[in-house]
Amino acid sequence: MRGRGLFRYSDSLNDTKQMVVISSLLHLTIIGLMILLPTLTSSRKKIIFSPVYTVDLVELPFAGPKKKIITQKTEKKRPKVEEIKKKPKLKSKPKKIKNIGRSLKKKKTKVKKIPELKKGVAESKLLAELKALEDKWNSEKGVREEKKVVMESSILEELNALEKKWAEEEKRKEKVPEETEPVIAKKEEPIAEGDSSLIFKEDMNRFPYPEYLYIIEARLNANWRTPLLSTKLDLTDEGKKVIVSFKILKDGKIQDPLIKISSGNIVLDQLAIKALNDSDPLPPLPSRYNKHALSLLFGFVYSAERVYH
Amino acid sequence: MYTGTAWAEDDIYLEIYKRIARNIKIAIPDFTIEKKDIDITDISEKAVSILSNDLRYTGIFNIVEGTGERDKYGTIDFKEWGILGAQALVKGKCYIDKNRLSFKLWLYDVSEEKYLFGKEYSGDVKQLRLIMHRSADDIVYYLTGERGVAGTKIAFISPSSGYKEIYIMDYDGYNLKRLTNDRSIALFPAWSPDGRDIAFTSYLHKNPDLYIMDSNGLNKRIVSKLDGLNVAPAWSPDGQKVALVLSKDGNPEIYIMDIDGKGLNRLTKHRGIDTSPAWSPDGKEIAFTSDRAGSPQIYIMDVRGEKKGLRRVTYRGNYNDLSSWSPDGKLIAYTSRQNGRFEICMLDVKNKRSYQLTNGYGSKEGPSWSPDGRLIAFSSKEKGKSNIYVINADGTAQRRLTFLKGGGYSPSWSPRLER
Repeated sequence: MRGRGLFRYSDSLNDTKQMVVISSLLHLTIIGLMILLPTLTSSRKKIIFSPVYTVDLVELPFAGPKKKIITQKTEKKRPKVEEIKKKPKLKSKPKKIKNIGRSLKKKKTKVKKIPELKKGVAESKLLAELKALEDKWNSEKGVREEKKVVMESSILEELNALEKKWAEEEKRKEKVPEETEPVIAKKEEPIAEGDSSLIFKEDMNRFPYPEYLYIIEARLNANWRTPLLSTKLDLTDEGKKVIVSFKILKDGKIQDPLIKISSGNIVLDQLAIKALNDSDPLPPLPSRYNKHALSLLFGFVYSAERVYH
Repeated sequence: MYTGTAWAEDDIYLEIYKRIARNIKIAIPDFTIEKKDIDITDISEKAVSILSNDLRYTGIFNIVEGTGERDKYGTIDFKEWGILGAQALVKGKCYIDKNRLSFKLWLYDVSEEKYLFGKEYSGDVKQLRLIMHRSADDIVYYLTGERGVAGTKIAFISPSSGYKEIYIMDYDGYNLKRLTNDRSIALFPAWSPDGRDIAFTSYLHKNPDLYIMDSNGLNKRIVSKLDGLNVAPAWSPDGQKVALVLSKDGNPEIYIMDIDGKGLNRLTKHRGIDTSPAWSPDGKEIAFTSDRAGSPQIYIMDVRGEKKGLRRVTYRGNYNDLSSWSPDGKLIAYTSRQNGRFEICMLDVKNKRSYQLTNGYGSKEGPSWSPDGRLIAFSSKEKGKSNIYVINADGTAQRRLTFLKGGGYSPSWSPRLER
């Protein structure tokens, strides 16, 4: 009866009040159920972590303009590698290529040859000075760009000073050409321990300014970038070598960089070329050097650090 | 290093060498802040440090220090980053809009000056850590092909509240939460392979019964309440079954049951104690501890029971227990008593060779692998108190995660949590 009464029209005040109360109660329970039920039923699916929204980005806000330049560069470089491969010049010198390959394996035996190549005691002092110069160069990496002009000029000054010393030294050598070398041969320790750098005698005769070569080496080394996905480069312990030829003009400009022997991997080849481009211009050639340019063959050897399990 | 050889009349030959390390050198300069009306420098700095740590903790990244001072004028100075040794670079922008944080991150290859990928992450301000973990995992995925574990969690037991309750925390020790509030003794938390559930043993009803609850601590349900022990649950890789230790017949033996408590199947039958089951990742074998040879040693048996195949794998030491199978199934990390204290040891399953992973102060127990197999969590007891530590699977970079007053032990590393 009571239930029926709910739906019966009545003009008595009590009945209306009752209806309002009951209908509001009904509404409340329905709303309550609507809120509670989903949470109860889906509590199993609910995960405590609230979502993080992600959107893939396509734009390149930082490297946009620069990237274009680079692609142009790389497009220029690629055909060069192919050109070189086609050149018959390469085929005519296979033995020498192999020799270079061996020179990598026989690093240690070559270090023993150092005594023959050594020069004067004065030179080791020069070496120390140059090393200090390089340290300075490296330590100021961060600020270097700002101070670039200052640094370059100071390097030039120091190089000029060095050149004067070399000139004096050469005069001395001219006086006693044969005797100096055996004397130095006994002192092999400092170089073997220190920089472990060595330049061959024939090279020394052609270009008797090892310090200049050390600077070149340091500069190219600093600008030689490490490939990112080294795991995909299939590098072995022996490594992969890119040999690049180029000329250094009197004013230090790099001319005609060419990949003589490709590593077989375009990424590694391009990083070698990029090291050259980033190092251009190099310090001017020693003023005592009388040829108009120095031609160099430069090997960039990549190898992978061994992983121990 | 120089070597030289005669090439042509005027050529000088020089050579330089680069030995490429396994670790990727990545630079993460400070993020730039868009909309400078609200100062969020501290949030941005925090974000960089979370991301740096996430990448460092993988053990395959080295962070290159650098501020990127010169990059602010629109382009990236790749040359400078190259000189600093960076191979990859993460550039970031962040802004905040009514408690809503947004980060745009771009990853670059420094050597080739190439854009690799970019993503925008947004979420609540409170989710800063989660957002950065997420982005770290994306970077790891992009560079290694496998997702990182920065988004994973570790469940463990702590008596900090006076009762032994289950807690979870992020894999780096932050974001600590208590999951249970049973005012009882909880033991052996074990994360299900899909990351949704945690199985554990509790004395809630005066008997060590086996429960499963959602990984948010809700919806606790009883799985096994047989008389005696219902302990040491280990999920099958498909998440459908649980291996556990029951002592309903007086002697602890290993059983398998469905996660609803049905389909009980006994695997071991021996007078000795059989305990600590660990399911192999391929689901075909179960490693467990047994003292049937006089001292606790680790054995591997066929999943159909010890009669179908059983072999002993540890021979060194007189106490080896609590094994945990690496995700690739090749190694088993376990606890071994060495000179009076416990150390985590590693066993090569194939050739049964084992070596000690941890060293030094503290008694270390209960290893649990991260889902990528690069990290191992364990507890180390010093001065009577255990704490959770993490170590790289190669034995390097041990670091402490918990700093609770009651300490923590029995860690269980979650799988990757899909969100």
